[in-house]
Order: sequence, then C-alpha cells, then structure tokens
Amino acid sequence: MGSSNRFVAFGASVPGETHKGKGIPNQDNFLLHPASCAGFPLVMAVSDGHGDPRCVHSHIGSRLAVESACTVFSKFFECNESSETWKSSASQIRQDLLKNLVQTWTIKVRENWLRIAENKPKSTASEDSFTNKDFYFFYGATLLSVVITNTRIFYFQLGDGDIVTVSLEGEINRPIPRDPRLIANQTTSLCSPQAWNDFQVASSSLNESSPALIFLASDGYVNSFKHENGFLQVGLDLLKAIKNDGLETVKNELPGWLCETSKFGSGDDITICILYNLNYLSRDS
Amino acid sequence: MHNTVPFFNFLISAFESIRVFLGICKIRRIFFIQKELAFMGKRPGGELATRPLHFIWIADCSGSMQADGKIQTLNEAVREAIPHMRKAADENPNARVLVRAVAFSDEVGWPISDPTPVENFSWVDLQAKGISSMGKAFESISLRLKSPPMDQRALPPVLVLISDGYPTDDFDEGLRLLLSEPWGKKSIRMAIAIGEDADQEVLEKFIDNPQIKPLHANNPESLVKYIKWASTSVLKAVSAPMTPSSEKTSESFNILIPVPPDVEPNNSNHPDVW
Repeated sequence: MGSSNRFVAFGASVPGETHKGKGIPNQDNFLLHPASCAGFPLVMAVSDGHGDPRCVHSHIGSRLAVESACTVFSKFFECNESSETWKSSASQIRQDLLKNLVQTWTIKVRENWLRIAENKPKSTASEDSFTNKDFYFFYGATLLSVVITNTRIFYFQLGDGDIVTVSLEGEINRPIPRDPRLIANQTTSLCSPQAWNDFQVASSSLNESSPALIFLASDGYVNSFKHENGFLQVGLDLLKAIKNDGLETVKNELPGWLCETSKFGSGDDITICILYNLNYLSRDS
Repeated sequence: MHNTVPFFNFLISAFESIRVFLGICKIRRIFFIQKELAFMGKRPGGELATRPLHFIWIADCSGSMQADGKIQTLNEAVREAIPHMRKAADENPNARVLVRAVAFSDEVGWPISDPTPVENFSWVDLQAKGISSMGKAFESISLRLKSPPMDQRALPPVLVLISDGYPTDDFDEGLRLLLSEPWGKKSIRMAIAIGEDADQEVLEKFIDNPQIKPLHANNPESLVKYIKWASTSVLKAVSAPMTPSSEKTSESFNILIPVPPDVEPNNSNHPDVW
C-alpha cells in the first residue's frame, strides 16, 4: 500500500460541561501537521492540561505540547530512514527523540513563563508557593500522538487518554494498553522529571491490514461511558457514520456529539482527533 | 328548540377541529421526538454515565462509644448531614455519589453494604459494644476497593473514620492491606477523633498525609460540625471540577481539601464532655 495511502484527519475539542460558567478554560488541545494532511509524515497530537488547581497554565501547556509533538516528530520522521532505523533498533533513538520532545516542550514553557513573569507585576498567591524551578508544574499536560510515515504508523502516549484503532472489518484495538496505575485523576505528565521515560510507544507497518480509522481522545471521553465497550464502540460508530453520512457530516456533527457526551458523562473537557484512510472509502464504495 | 341544532352542530365541529388540531400536534411532537432521537442515536459510542464517587463512613462501635452518648450523637450527626451531602452532590451533576458505611467492634459489619446513591441513602442507627477491630475494618474496605468491583473511571473515594479509642487488633496489617490497593492508596482519608482518648498516631497513620490532620471533637456540637464538614466540603472538593484557586487549602494528591471549620475548644455553652 505504501505511499499510495491517502489520509484525512480532523478533530474537535469542547470545554467540559462542568467547566462552563466557572471561568475554567478548555485545558485540552489538538493539532494536525500538515493541516492539509497532504504528504508524510502526518502527525496528530492531543494533549490534556491537568485539572489540578495549581496547574494554572495547563491550557497553555497542552497547546505547547501539541506544537512540540508536531515540530519534533515531523522533523524526525520526514525522511524514510528514520522510520526504518526506528524499526531495526534502538532504544537509544527512541530515548533521544522523546528526550528532544520533552526538552522542546520545556523550552517553550520556559519562554512562556518568562513572558508572563515579565508582564505581571505580581505573581498570584498560588504561584508564590512554588520556587521558580517548579513553574513547569503550572503547565502540566499529557500527550497522545500518532505519526504516519509512508511505511509505518507510530503511536506515542504519555499520561491518560486513549488511542484506538479500527480495522475495516470492525476489529478494535488499543495499540498502547491502558496503564492500570492511572486512576483517580492521577497521570504521568510532561512536567515530571525525566518524562521521556514515562512514554509508552508502539509501531506497526503501514500495509493492507492497517487500520481504516485511528482516533486519539483525552480522558474526558472514556470517562463518560458507563462501560469500556461503550467507549470502544465510538470507533465503529465513527467508521459507520463516515461511510453512511460522509466525512463532512461527521466533521460538522462532532462538536455537538462531544458536548452531549460531556454533559451526560464525565463533565470534563473532551478532545478527539480522527484519522481516516481514504483508500478504504474508495474501496468500500 | 330550533336554536339548539345549530348550537350542537357548532359544538361538534368545534370538537372535531380541536381533535384534528391535537392530532396534528401529536404527529408533530412524535415527528420532532423521532428527529431528536435519530440525531441522538447517531452520537458515537454506548451508554453514557456520570463518574462514580464512593463515600464510606467508618464508624467505631466499640463499647467505649456507649459512654456519654457518643454513639447517639454520631447517629444523629450523620443523619443530620445527609441533606447537606445531597445538596453538595447536586452541585456537580457529573459525579454520582455512592454512600455506604462500615462499623467495627468485636467484628466488622456493613450496616449499609451496597454503594447507595446519596439521594436514596438513609442512616441505620449503630449500637456500641465490644472491642475495636479497626484493622479488620480496613481489611474489609480493601476488599471492596478492589478493581473490579471498583470502576476504573471512578473519582477518588472518600473514607471518613470516626473513632474514640485505640484499635485492639492488628491495625498495621489492616492499614497495609488498605493502602496496598490502588484505590485505597488514592482515596482521600479523613479522621474524626472523639474525645481525648482517641489514638492520634493511629489516625495520622490512617490519613497518611502530613497536610491533613485528624479532627478532634470534644463535645457533641463539634462532632456534628466535623461530620457535616467531612460529608459536604470534602465531598465537594473531590467531585468538583478543578478550579484554579487561591483559597486556603490542604493539598492532597491533586485534590485541594478545604480547611476544616474552627471549633472553640472551651466554648462555655458546649464544654468538653468527652
């Protein structure tokens, strides 16, 4: 299948139902690179800024996280060699890439923090309780990312949230299994020391049996469903909706669906990024 | 007589018009409901549900709780706190508060065994007698906090221990079992000591968080106040969306527990009785 693959990616992010009217910003962000989805590598990133009351800039932290992921991953994977090197080796390469990603994020955070500190006459009471070196915590965020090169698919996850794949036959998978330690709103984070060690990574070849649909979602989504299966069904339903109603309809309806899900579910911010393999659409039709 | 015929005709046609009108309304209503259902049916995914928040009262029912009406005050205080708990739960409709209670004396029992939605929760009066099997109570809670039956997406459970004395069993082993369960470790644990005889060290070990101290109730008024606080403010803090705040709080994990209410230790109207 290789480079003949054509993909379309899109997403939506809605503020949590319980956040509305309380002055709490949407702390999630997502980003696609390139935005046109033309060419490889194609990077999708979703980040969830921590809800901890002390993480006062986590909505910025999540934006910087998705920007960092798109910058670092697209640069690394822009030549085929990186994909192949990754395949054949080497924990060192993974380590270096993820370290680079985390460091890019911390540099961006530092710049933002200095800008805020310059413009603010006095820091808030909450920030006073921290020494300067702890300011990364104010920006704490998770990161989910999927990178498509012309030969492979890469999955990266730091913290809570979900990456789900759906085959054309309707088989649902989590390329990265749920981390049982991440319960009760606890999560690993970009602001943790040596955060690159907490990433979970998976990859697979891009071929005939590759997923028809992949989606990345912040944890507000899975927490809205009574049962795990109800959440996984999202993948099947999206696949069906794209086939039956078309991509544009799904894109337009998506924010409304997420708002409804937050309202009757977790009440949390919900963000989803969807990647659809257009080859399957044409094959199916 | 002649005039009545047109009048009846008028009534008949009026009824007919109303019937037709109502029929149209009904059809339109059905149409709109169907349209709404069709839209709702398209929302991807299965059944939605709010996140469970388990709240467990842990009540010391050993013989010493019989003295000076402690157990009666506890029963009354919890009963009085229930409407306030419901109100606190209402403030975050995306959390489903489920309450139960465990009591320990010679044995451990669950007078309210099933996680009961707070809107249906009613307190069962407890009786005091025997020794204080606190360690066994923790062991029993640890079994209930296993996953499953705990739901992966639950909010941190809240455990509130109310005790007036020393455990008489292997407290450390019970606590070890409780804290070795991921949900036990992640729970928000509060303790209310009744009177001066309560074992401070044991309660601090149970809380396992230097920023949260046991609350000391030396008279019925303060017990009522603390029980109400634990069942409302703590509940609210755990269930509420995280709001950036500069309020005075104790940091517990990623939950900010509000500062407990002040209780005058030597209030002349309510002198120390315990």
